[in-house]
Parts: sequence; C-alpha cells; structure tokens
Amino acid sequence: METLINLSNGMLTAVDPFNLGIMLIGLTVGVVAGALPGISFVNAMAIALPFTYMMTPLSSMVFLGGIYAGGVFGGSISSILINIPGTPASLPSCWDGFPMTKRGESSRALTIAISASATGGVASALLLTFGAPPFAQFALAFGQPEFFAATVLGLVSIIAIAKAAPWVSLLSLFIGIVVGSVGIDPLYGVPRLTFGIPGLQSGINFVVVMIGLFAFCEVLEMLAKSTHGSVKDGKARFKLPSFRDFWSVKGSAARGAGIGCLIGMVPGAGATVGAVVAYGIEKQVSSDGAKFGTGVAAGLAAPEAAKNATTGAAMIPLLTLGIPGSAATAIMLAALVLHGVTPGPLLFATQTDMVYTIFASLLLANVFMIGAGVLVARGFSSLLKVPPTVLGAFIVVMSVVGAYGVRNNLFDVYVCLFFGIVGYVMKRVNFPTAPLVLGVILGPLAERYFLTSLANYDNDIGIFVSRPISASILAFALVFVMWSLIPDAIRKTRRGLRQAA
Amino acid sequence: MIDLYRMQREKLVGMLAPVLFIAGAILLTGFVDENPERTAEMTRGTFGPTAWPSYMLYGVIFFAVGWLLQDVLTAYWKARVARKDVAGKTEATAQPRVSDVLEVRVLIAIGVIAAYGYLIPLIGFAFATLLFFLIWFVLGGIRKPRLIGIVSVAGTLFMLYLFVKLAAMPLSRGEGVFGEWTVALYQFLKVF
Repeated sequence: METLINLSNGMLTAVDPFNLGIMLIGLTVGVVAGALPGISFVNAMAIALPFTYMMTPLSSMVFLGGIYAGGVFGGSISSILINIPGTPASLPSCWDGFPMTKRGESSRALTIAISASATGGVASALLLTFGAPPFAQFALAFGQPEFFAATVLGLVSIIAIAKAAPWVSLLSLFIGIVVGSVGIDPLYGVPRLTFGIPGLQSGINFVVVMIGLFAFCEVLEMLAKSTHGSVKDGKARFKLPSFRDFWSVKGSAARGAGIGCLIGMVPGAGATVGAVVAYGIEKQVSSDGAKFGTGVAAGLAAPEAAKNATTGAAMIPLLTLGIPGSAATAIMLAALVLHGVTPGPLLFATQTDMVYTIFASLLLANVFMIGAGVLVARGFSSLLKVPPTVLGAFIVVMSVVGAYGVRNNLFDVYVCLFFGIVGYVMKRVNFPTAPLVLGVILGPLAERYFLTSLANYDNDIGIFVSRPISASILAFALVFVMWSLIPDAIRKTRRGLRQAA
Repeated sequence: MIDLYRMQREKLVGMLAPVLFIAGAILLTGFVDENPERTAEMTRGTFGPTAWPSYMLYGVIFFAVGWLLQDVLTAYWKARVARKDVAGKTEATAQPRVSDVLEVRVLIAIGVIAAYGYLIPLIGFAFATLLFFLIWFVLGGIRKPRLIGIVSVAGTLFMLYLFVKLAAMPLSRGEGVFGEWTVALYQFLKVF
C-alpha cells in the first residue's frame, strides 16, 4: 500500500510539465539515436550527460531514463525497415522483422515491435517499482565492507558481457580502474600517476573518458567507413498500431517480458543477451518455431519485449546497490554521482520522492514510447538522408563542448580526444571498451569503500571475509570470475588439443 | 619447448599487445608516487594512497600475462597443426593490420579535432566551430560548396543557441580581435 502511495506521489511529480517535457525530449532523442545506425543511444546518453549539469538530479535521471527507454526500442526501426540493427540488442529483430518488411508488412512489423517493446518496458518498470524497495530494505544491513564487496561484484560482472574473451575483459577493467585512480587521492592528498602534469592532478573525469570512448570513437569509425551520403532509403508507409496485431502475439510478448525482466536484473547481462535468449526460447516454445527467420510475428515480439524489459530491471541493482549492469546504466550512475547522489539502500529512505518519481517516469516513458516510436518510424526515411559526415561533425562539436564543460578545462578536451583514439583502436582490434568505462566509474568508488572499511576496522584486511554478507558477495564474485575464466581456458585447451590431434 | 619460429608472424605481432601492457604496467608501478618516502612516513605501514593503484597495476600485469599465455598456447597448437598439414593449407588468422586500424583519413580527422580544441581559446568557439565544420565536411567527402556553406553556418548558429543561449556555458570568445568579433556576433544574434 505504501508503495502505491509513493508511486502516485511520484507520478504527480513525473507529470510536472518540466519533468514530462524533458522525459519526452529524452525519449525522442533516444528513439532517433537508436534508429540511426552508427549512433547508438549509449553515445547519445554520453553526449547528453554534460547537459544534465544544469538540471536537478531527478530531472537528469528522468531525461537519461527517457533516452534509455527510447533508445533500446529505437534500434528496431532500422532493423525492421533496412535490416541494419541500430543497436546490438536489435539484432534479433532483423531476423523476423526484415522478412516481414520484404513481404510488404513493414507497418505490421513496426506495430508489433512498438507494442511488444512497450509491454516489456511497462512490465519491467512495475517490477522495478515493487521489487526494488524490498531489496533496498535488505541492503540497509550493508556496511562499508558490504558496499565494497557489492562494488567488486559490479566490477567483475562486466565479464559476463564479453564471455568470449574474459582475460581481455578483466585486463580492460583493471586498466579502467588504474585510469580512475589517477590524480590526488581523497584521503591523504597524495598525487598518483600524475607524472608532474598539473592537468592530471584533479584526476581523469569519467564523463570525459565516456565521451571519448563512445562518441569520438564512433565518429572516427564512421569516417573510416567513408560513408557519406545516405545509408539506405527506408520506404515505410506507417499506420497507427492496431490492437489486433498486438493481441496476436500477446503470449510471445509476455514470455519475452518475463525473460527480459529476469535477465535484466543480472548485472552485465543487458538488453542484447535478453533479446537473444528470448528469441531462442520463443523458437523452442512457439508452434511456428521451425519457421522463425522467415518473418514470424512471434519471433519479432519476444525479443522486442525482452530487450525493453531489461531497462527497468537493470535499474534495480543500479539504484539499490549502485551496480550498473550495462554501459547505459553506468552513464545513469555517472549522472547520479555527478549530482552528489550516492545510489544504494539509503537512497530509498532519504530520497523516496526522487526514487518513486524515477519509477513513475520510466512507466510513463514506456507508454509514451508508442507515440515517439510512431513519429520516428514515420520520419525515418528523411532521417536516413542526413549524411553521416554531417552527423559526425555535430557529434564532435557536442563532444568537445561536453568534455570542456565538465570542468571548463581545455585539458579535458585533449584527454577526451586521447580516449577517442584509444577507443577507436580498441574497437578495431576487438578490445572491449565497456569494462574500461566501468572501471573508471566504479574504481574510485571501490577504492573509497576499501579504504574507509579498513579505517573503520583497524586496518584489518580480514574484515571483508569475516562478515557474512560481505564474504558471501565476494565469494559470489569469485565464483563469477572463475565461471568465466575456467570454462574459457578449458574450451580453448580442448580446441587446441583437438586441432593438434 | 614452444617453437616460436613456427608461429605466424602476424600472431607474434598480435602477442605484442599483452607484452606492451605488461611492460607498461611494470613501468607505471615506478610512477605511482612522486615521493614514496614521504608517503611511507605518512601511512606508517597501513594501506596508504598508493596501495590501490599499485594493486590494480599488478592486476593489469596478471591478466595481461594470462592473455599472453593463452595466445602463446593457441599459437603453439596452430603451429603443430600447420606442421602436420602436408599441403600447408591451414587458414591464416585474420589479424588486423596497422594500416587497417589507423587510416590516413582517420589520422587527419584526429588532427582536425585536436586543432579544433586548440583553436577554441584562440579564435573563440563560434569561429573555431565554423572553421571546423567547413574542413570536416570537405574531409568527409561532401563536394557541394553551397551545401557545405549552408550547413556549416546553420550548424554553428544552432550550436551557439544551444550552448551559449540555452545552456549558458562559459565558452571561450577568443583572444584579441577574435574576442571583439565574437562579442559583436553574439550581440547581433542576441545570444549574449
């Protein structure tokens, strides 16, 4: 009952004209960014991050939440219409969505995608609303060692994204943590890894790193592909979503939403894993499973519902423990930290209004997404005519200003450019960037929890394993690392032995 | 013993990456603290400010070694397979070449972005952005002068309204005469 009262209060704040306005702007930006191949919504979130400086913490979360919800869906528009996934999570939408377009059913495919995505999104927002508070209640028992353990779990969970190369992912993560530790340390005031460069004394800001790795890197990649002129001409005649189309795939959408909610809660899993798993399960469950890949509505609805269902679910570990499960939620964590808000169980007790307004906004964003999706799908062919060179130029200017605006410091622009080059090279040689970003964001947090834990418990390093919750979380993190590293090593050894034999 | 000569040259080049990470991390451990004696005195045997970055650098070394070992073992098995293959028709591993990674166009783009960042405090955000747009569009392969001109001017105006008028960001107006021109432009556009 208390949750419902809080939610209704949150809803009242969410429909405040300013909050509603920026949520709708965020939603549209997200859908457009997601729909344009090459400009992912994560890039849009990274570019939008500096704009949140002038907002309240609540407004910034509402704005970024809008981009997140809209962006996860947006990628499906290009998947369905031109067979180019706007985001990695939209890949399964190509498999059955594009064949439907080829059959002249693009309008029906988009209707199914929008309504299934909205269903998944609303389901996960409800899960977030009713599931997060009890979890936060449990997390109130956490002290500094438990938070350190939870942050470590958040850090290592990133290897779940790149299970194919766990060693490299962990290496990338540790590099990120080292980057995050550059500058004067907060407890003793000792400069670390600064090489006497004054600009490094205040540290390397994670926003600058993110803009460099995501936005600059994407522009360089765009330029390397030399794609000036339109990508492809999407010829979509779009009608309003019909209830009949949605009703025909209600079972698939419900299953997809359930799978997405479950997978979304696992840090590191994310929308891509959710969509692919939902597609695979739906293929097994559906009576039309054998026809999947030829334009089956159920094959489109399930992954669509699943990927949007991961959005709200991924915010449960983010808001209750401060563990971001994906690059997008890492940016949301960055926004909270920038505004001096520390996510965790205390957030639910001290800033209840803000938390429930975020929940309500996410609910509304998923409902309004239907309208934004319809609008963007209608104007999609015009959007694709914008040459990537022009888009790239605007991204560069916004990124430069964004990096400069972090501390009104030109040094940050060069740091940003440096990470853009690093990110570009990393992308070209398939070296994962997401763990590095997570390391830069969570590394300083982990260090703070580590040092304050030791300070509170007489420098006893054993404190992390002598407290039951902290020990359990650390054990879980260790199992997680082993679970990723050992099977990978065994698989590679077996393959090598097989080849040698 | 691992026969390194049997390994493909590309694979060896690929293995340079973890080796460089190991060497870099070892080198960095010496630069964590500028004054280790003072820090040691300050912390007196407890976990000091340099402990965390040092442990993380050890982590970099550990995982880079793991990566290297994995690559060496994989290459060793591939070399054994290649030796057994009489026809020698084993598939070559597709390793990215340096020319694939750093194209001339990308290098020029990096230079243009760096120059843009350098010029902002000198000639001001407005003129630097206009200049950047013009050069970038030519670099991007757009060959219609009128289109380049219109989009550059419109784009610069949009950015000025967005960042100067709406976001009220203290962006550089430039030095000397550029500062005066920027102020005049802002007054003309009523963004100031």
